[in-house]
Amino acid sequence: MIKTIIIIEDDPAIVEPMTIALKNSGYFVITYFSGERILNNDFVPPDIFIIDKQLPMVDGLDICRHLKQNEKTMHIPVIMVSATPIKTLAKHAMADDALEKPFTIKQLRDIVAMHLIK
Amino acid sequence: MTDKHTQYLLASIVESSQDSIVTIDLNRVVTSWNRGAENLYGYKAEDIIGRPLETVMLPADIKDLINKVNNIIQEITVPIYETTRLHKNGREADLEIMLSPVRDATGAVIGISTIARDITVRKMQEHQKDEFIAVASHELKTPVTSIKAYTGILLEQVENYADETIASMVKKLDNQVDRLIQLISTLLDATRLAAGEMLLDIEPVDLNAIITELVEDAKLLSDRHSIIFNAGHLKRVPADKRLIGQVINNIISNAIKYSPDGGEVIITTLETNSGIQVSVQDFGIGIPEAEKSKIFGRYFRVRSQLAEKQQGIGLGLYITAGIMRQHGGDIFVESTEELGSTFYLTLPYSNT
Repeated sequence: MIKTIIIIEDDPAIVEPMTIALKNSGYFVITYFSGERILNNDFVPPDIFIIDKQLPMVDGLDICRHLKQNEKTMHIPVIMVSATPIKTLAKHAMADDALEKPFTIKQLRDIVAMHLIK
Repeated sequence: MTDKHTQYLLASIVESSQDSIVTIDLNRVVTSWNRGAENLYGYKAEDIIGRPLETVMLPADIKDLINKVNNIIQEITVPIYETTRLHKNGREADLEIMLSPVRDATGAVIGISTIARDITVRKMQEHQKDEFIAVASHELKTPVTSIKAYTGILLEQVENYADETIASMVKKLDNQVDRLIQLISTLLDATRLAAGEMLLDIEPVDLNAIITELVEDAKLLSDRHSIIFNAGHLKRVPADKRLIGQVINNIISNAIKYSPDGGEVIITTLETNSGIQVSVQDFGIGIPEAEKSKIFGRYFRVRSQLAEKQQGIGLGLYITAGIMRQHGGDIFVESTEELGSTFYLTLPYSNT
């Protein structure tokens, strides 16, 4: 069964290589440039979320909280991504893990794999 | 020149100096107050002479001044320091202060002269510069993340290429991106440190395990050095794993860098009364006596032919010392020119 990842990130120059790297590892990747569809509950639940903190309109941490407060999605792992130290903020928003930019594609794949095994 | 003339000349220099020049007796009561002091603190000489210097000080700094006065009485030199003092109107000013003894004819210390310079503007400019570096570095992170990720994918694709030059160029590209990432993170660490915003992620850390890993990496860097690790028995110590690793890595790579003829680099860990001590000894070029006190300063680089060939912006030891202090620990160095240096790091078992 192919695992599905939703990436929410507004910078195309980050989304593209992330998507390629994860597709090359055999995942099915869906990308959104904002959290709008998530907040409107207009999406098919994936196996894992990767969410950038700094997004247009709604902060990535608020999207994470929304997912974690919703019974249907609270069990799905969320990895927060940011260019600023984010570990503590991510923990407060109930995210499962955090990844600070810049990261390597190995770090990205490792963190995804770790949370999909759990 | 007659004595009287000399005295008159000196008094006039003191009076017209833009720096605040104040003398106090051993009980910290003001005995003289020049025009610079009147401008800096807002008090006229006749209003303050005979009153304690505490009048223009923040309460928290008084104990520190008492210690410094005691040092001077015991003939211990007090280095120039920065502090905050109070203007008559309640405004605080950032000052740089130099304390020196005032002696009577027999040479006994009878008071202290304190020369203060207003550095509020300089402090503000430093702060603006730090903020600029922080914002610029942060903005650099996003494109660098993108380049690093694209390069990572390229690396995987060219792995099996028949044309090795392309693979080798992509590898070099990846290395250069790593250098850029390292530089950005150094600049960010330094500005966070200056702003007091370096946050520690404290957890119990097995220091010997971290060092073992770093030693393995360091062995790959140089085949002319033999890197020896004497691991003492240690309990886990509360620390930020990533930052402590960065500190020890910095000290080990400096040891390799500044012993260009190769030789041993000896790393030792041991338990002290209150914590852990790590020492890193090299047999390299050493540090000139005059520069020893400056090496932990910002943007400082050892002036030597060897050092000029090295890359870097002189922030490594500044950040290292900052990280150690943030942990409640310390760093110091013993060094002899031409014979080598030993850096000591201390970490307390409890940092409260």
